[in-house]
Amino acid sequence: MMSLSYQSNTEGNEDKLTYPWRKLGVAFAVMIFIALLAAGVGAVNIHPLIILKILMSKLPFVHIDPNWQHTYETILLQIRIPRVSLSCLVGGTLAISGATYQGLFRNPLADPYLIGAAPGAGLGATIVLATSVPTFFQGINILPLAAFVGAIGAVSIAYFTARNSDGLPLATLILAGVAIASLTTALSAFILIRSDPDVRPVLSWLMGGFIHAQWKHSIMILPYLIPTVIVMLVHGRLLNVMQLGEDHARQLGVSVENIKLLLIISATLSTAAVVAFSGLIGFVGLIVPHSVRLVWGVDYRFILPMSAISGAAFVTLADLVARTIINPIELPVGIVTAFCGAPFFVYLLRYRRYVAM
Amino acid sequence: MDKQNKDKLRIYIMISILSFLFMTCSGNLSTNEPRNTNKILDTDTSNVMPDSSSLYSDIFPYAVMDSRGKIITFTKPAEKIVVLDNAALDTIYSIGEWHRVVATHDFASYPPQASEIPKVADAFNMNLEAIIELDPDLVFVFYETFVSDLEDAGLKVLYLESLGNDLEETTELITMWGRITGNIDRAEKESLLFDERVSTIQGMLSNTDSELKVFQDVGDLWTPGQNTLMNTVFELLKLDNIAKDVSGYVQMSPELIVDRNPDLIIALNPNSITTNSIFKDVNAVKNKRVIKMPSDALSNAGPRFALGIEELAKVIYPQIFGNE
Amino acid sequence: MLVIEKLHFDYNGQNILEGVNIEAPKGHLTGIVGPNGSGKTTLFRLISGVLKPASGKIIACGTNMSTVNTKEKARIVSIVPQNPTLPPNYTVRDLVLMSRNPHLKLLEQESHLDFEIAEHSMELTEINHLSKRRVGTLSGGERQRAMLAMALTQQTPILLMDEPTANLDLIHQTHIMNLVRKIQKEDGRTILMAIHDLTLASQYCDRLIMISNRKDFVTGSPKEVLTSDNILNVYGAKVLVLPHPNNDGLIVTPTSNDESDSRNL
Repeated sequence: MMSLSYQSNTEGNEDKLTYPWRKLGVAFAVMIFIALLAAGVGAVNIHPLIILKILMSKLPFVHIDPNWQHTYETILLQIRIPRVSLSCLVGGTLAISGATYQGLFRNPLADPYLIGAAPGAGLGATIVLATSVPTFFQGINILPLAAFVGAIGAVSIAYFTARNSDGLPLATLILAGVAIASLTTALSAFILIRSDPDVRPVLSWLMGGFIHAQWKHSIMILPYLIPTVIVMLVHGRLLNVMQLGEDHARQLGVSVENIKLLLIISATLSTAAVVAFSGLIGFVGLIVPHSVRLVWGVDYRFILPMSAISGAAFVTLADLVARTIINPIELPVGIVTAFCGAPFFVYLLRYRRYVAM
Repeated sequence: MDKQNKDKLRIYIMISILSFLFMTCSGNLSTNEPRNTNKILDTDTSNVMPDSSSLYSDIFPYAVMDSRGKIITFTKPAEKIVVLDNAALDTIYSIGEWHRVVATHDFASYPPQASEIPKVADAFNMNLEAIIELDPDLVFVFYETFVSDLEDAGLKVLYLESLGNDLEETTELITMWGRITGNIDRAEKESLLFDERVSTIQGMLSNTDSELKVFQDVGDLWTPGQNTLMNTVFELLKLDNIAKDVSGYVQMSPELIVDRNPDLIIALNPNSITTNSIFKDVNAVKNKRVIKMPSDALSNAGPRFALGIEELAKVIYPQIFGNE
Repeated sequence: MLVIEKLHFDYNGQNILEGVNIEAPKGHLTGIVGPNGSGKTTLFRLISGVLKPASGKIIACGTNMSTVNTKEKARIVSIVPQNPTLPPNYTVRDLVLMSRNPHLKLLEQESHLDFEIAEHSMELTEINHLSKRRVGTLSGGERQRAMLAMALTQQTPILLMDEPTANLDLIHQTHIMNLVRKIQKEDGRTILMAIHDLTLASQYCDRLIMISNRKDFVTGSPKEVLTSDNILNVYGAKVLVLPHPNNDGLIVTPTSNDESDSRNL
């Protein structure tokens, strides 16, 4: 009797035991398709055939006569593809960091900016853009550095404010983050008010965008992204256990304090790194993980990678819209993510009868 | 063309001048824009002045229609003026009436004396109490936010949204300030000088037909398109603005900048262009023609604007304008 | 077995436990009784490692609990908490499987064996049919059994249960207590259970420890511990302790001072 029921149960478990690689694979293929589409479409019209030829010519052992306008090559290889690459990295990072924070804080409102990263980065950027601090120091653009330092700084202050001898109470951390956020926002506003009345560069930075995307940006953020994203990905199962609450999770053998610290560092570092080059793209880190959860369920082992893939696809698509919808004008991508993302999210909430978390 | 201009974009000036004398003697009173055709008859005026002297009675009463369509009437020169606009500061300074300016805003960059007078406003706010305490007989503003507050406080306010795309508006502003301050002779001279400078440049470039393609980056690849004063300057300097297919200030797609391949780039931060590998094949970068604005003269459409055009012309066409 | 020696704990300078001594013999169901606020829940949190004692020793299966890390603790002691917030969108099976965490490495995923263990626990607690239900849709009794299944899946020699019958109606109370007894008989687990209902305690527990004033007051068999004198001392309540007509247990029922007394007489 017992062994019989074991048998049947084990069979029923086959679906659970096999990780849904297929779904991730399909999602990844869709993302690649969107990336290719984004590489193929832009303000300058380049024939797909020429794009193919340019790409082929870059492959080793392939020789194709470069009979195309050489600016096309620059546009494709130096502007469009780096831009697609950066938008994928940024979107994926924001979404996975948002998913991590939602899991860690068990708070449906959590996004990567929850504990002060965004206003901190905003302050850094505002200082560079709106004061006499030079944007270029020895030929190096210090804007990303300032945004990065600002984000890390704000989160660190919130962290050390909230930390006490017993550990890190997450509710206190959120409140500390809110306090630091209002403080840095007030400082930014003060700087803006005392500065040049042309706030457009600051504003467009705050809305986020990839207008300056270059290969080196993708390369520069990779060292931050690779370890932190791996850390987040491997904690999927533990994030599930964390949903029981800290005490219960601890009783199940989870080193709660270590994991909180590790995940906060990972999400903050990766968010700060991408925000430094993309500006503050809102909404992605909030709605992508929720949408994934809505459609595919609550298991963080799946939510984390799926959020990364979906976030990459979503932001790349949003950027494609941002740079082509009013040709030749660029829109801040943050406007597009909010404008397209919000109605979709409302739809999901309304028709999926979603219970947050 | 950075700073204030950008915030005062795409706005027309409505000035109509009314003094009996100049109504009859001058044909240069209305702007070219069709919507600015209203010339306001000063019905109060019964005095007829046959010759143009600098007597105040020749000039006053004088009426200006502001950007709301309200008519502001002057019966004597404004003695204490709060000027919250850089172009107006420049204009008043150039006609030698600086002593009338009692306060300005934080962003006054020219003339140097601007740093010595009280600052009563910043980008978003105005210190109403400080302005009232100064007891000015005119407050000049370029945006409407605080106009009714000022008027409620019993102050006389002239609100003119500035900067269309027409250089003539600048000369009209010079004349207007001449009348408001009672120094019409000097204003006429300045206005004439302005026109002369502009036409000289035009004349010197009349034989030039090499239309250099230009891109101006005022920060973050924002650029002036059609219907901006800067585009007018480019046209005057025989430059072909690569953003002329769009209107107003826009953020330009870097792909298009590369595709349209400007021969000259005027950048807020030349470094941001030259160090960006995206632009390495652009003519302007290859030929090292990424320049900074020679000065901030082109940031305000005051009398210095003509000098700004000259400076820019010298940088762009050294062979024509020499090096002096 | 579980031995606790001179356990002290204070919180913000306030003493919560002042030298508690407990011995829970292997394979027995030991009940902890005592009034509200006597420190039962704190005691459980100390044993399971959520809190750290100020002094004293907790020795479980020969291991001093202060010398092992969180994960090792979780392989020795499991707990059914009193009122946990369970994530409503997970299925019962996902929930029960979470308890395999102490046996898994960071990157390790649940194996067939882990699934079998979880299924077995659900079998024992009679919630197999609920395995695909979402936790948010469970009734109180089903939740309690799901949590018991979680604790069983953890496969620890020692199981702590904090008021497993709280918030349950009469029939579910008996159901869960019978389950506990059955499990304990089956695999010889050491169980320490905080329990309010003295009648239930007397029927199901092998031994009882009565806690009073932040210390253990009396230890022994239910009959030894649950005397009306002890209860009057510890709870300050007059009770009637009667032998149970159908089993070895007792019936403990309050007697009010005046009217009801006179009515009974």
